[in-house]
Amino acid sequence: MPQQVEEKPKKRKKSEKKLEFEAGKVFTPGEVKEEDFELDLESARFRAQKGQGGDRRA
Amino acid sequence: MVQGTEHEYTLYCRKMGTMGFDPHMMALDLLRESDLHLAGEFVTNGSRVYYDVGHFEVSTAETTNFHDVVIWEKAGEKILDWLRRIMEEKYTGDMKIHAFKNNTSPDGTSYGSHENYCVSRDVPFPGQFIRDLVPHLATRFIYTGAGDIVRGKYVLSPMAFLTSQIISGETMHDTGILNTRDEPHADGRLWRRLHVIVGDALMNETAIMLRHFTTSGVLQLMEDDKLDHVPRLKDPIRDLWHNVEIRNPEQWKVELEDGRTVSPIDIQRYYLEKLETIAEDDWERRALRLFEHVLDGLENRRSKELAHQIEWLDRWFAIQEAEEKKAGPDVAMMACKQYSEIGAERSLFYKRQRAGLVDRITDDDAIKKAIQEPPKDTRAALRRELCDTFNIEMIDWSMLIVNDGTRRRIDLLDPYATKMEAPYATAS
Repeated sequence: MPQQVEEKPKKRKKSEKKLEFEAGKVFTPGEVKEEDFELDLESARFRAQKGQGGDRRA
Repeated sequence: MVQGTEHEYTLYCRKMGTMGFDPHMMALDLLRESDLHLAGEFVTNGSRVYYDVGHFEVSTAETTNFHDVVIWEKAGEKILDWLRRIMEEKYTGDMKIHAFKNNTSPDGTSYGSHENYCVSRDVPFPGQFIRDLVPHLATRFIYTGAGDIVRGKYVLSPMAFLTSQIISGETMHDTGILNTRDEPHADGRLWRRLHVIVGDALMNETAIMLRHFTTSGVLQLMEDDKLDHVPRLKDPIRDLWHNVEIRNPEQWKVELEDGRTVSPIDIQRYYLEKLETIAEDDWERRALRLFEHVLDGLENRRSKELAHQIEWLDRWFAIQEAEEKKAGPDVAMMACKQYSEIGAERSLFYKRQRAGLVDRITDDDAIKKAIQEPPKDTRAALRRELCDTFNIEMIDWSMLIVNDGTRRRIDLLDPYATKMEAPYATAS
């Protein structure tokens, strides 16, 4: 028979986390200036490391 | 049906290199110092985040449906975007860090984005999957493809373009429409985790939703033994290679074993008809109508309208617009890659989403919530509860070792279990 966990919480208090998630940093399209959109050749040329994406073989 | 996704994100900064730093590793270090970190490689929303083959990889928490998987996938994307911004503020200043959700670099280097579906072990593998599922996976890219420029050509789906086998266990080369990996992360006597590697990294919420609605629906039909007379494709790889390079639906073709030539739209219409028999709730009926609308639109070549839902079409239009505004040999490649940046201030996709050019199926409030919390209806909720209760010594998808003085192992073999009383969630 499956056992149930009966103990009361015994978790040690976690040390204070240094970073707190701030939703405002990533959900703020109002800050974007559409006229500033520039195409970036350097980042677009960046060669990534090969991952689990496959490779076509004839 | 329990399902989720895995994405290998690529980060780039000019300060990278032998004298610089690796933003992938730095992002992971920051995440572990943050309040989003739960235990081991897991974060508070039930997802697993780790370093894999030079990439920052996010595997979403277990979700039960085609709608939630979109929300938790987007939550993972936003977590990385937050880390990217923190790194810019702390370490690189004006020098930008770019994060891409795509599948290839301009030189053709590829990396993956995978789907996982928890399927009954009763469905014979690989026989029934080749018969019933491969025709779907070989043709669904007409509406699930992300679009990309590979080897100088615009292709509807980079991952379909790179696929060269019908069935294979490989993920780095010679990949298959059907992948044979068998790591269930659950009770292996009951479930198989079907690992789908022929799909693309998608930005568009509607496209992600349609991909999961159709694929999980086909798998459910297989479990229920409700698929009969599935169209039999004579040479799926040959047709996939032909169709993936063609934007005009009138030129798509699929040859059947009986000698007839049909369109991949016809193959998908077969599945549409079958899915109609199992659509029960409002969500499913709405997704079904959307699926029908997309197939009708492709048949009638309503490209501009369909670009709201189909990513390969919208990316194509974004590239055309960029080329109209700016001249140069690399403009198309720049626009193609920049479409997939996840930062709202740089991404061509998010620029177009803000302009109302792509359809959403959820909203930012739901994604914000999913950044912090796991889905309530899967094992991810139980895993979070256990992590909040005990000190965790070791953690994986289906197992934890808690340090309460006894080093007890708790197995979580049922991905649907949300309570310890469930038969496969046991403490010993």
